[in-house]
Amino acid sequence: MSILLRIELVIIAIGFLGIVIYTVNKKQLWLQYSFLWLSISGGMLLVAIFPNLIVRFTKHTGIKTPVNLIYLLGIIVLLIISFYLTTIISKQSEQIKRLVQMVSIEKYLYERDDRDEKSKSELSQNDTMH
Amino acid sequence: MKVLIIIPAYNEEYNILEVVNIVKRYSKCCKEHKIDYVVINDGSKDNTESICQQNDINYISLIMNLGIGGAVQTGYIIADIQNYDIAVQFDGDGQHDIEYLEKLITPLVQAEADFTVGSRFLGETSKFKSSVTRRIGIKYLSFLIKCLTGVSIKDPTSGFRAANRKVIHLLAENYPIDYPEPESIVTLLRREIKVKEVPVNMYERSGGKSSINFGKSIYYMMKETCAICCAGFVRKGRKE
Repeated sequence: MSILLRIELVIIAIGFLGIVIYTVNKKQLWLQYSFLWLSISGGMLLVAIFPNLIVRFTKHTGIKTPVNLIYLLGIIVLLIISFYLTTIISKQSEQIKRLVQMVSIEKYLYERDDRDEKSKSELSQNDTMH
Repeated sequence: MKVLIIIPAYNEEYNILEVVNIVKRYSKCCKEHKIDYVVINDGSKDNTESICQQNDINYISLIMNLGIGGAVQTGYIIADIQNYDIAVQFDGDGQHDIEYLEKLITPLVQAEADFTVGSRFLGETSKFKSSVTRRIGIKYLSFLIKCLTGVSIKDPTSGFRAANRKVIHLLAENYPIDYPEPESIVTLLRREIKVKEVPVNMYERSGGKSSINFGKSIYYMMKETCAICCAGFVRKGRKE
């Protein structure tokens, strides 16, 4: 792995780390989800500082150059992340749907009771008048 | 038996009043069952809501548009909360014939089935059988369901259906969002729910527009194929 690539990786990893910490502190990113991004930038740093890890692994897996392995790993990680995100979206859609339904039903029941009470009080008023 | 008719309505200002009047008239005539109805206004952008308000229609307005599945499910939740024995789905566009309601719920009353589907293609009760392309699509879905569950449902896209208390509870918990009919049938069949088809009459839409165009129908078919095939892997009778 060339020294230039390593330097680039270190810069990207540190920059990314900075962005993650900044957004967490600004409350724009939940801490739960930040673990994922923190570990990814940590992994990038690790690879940049100890390239031998990747080089050795490349030889074992039959991939030609270390950079190819990095691409492959990157794509796999992105796949996993986007899959994870769609599961979160689905779960939240379900929750939002349930929320809309329950709020609408509550509103309906409340307004119906309200109407019933009104008509009852009108009836009793009529009774007293007669 | 307490029966709740669920009428989902999205932009049905031309039809809703007539449909509700037909339902009201029918429920007054019916002596054996106590029939109530509820219109689920799925965030309509037209005058559906004000029409409901002015004409003293019993309706729920969803605070956001959820799609047909979310609207119908709201009806099932209401039926579940208020302990109805039977819930009937009845389209707000006037396609369904209320006279067949009795036939539709009879298998549920006699405990022959847990869920009934009103079918256009069973028997000769319905003159309206939809266009050729749609019939091909419906045949295909029907074939798919037959392959994966072994049960023959001739009209899986029918929105005229009835559920008993057990199924009301299941559907209140879990119901697909868009184009929900075939998918929910498969899910129920996999849970070993007894589904029965009943011949009914349907009309052509009198007003308004169908929600399905060419592009959507392709998505519809792909989605249903996917849903039915996935549901085919659920082990029989397993509870989630």
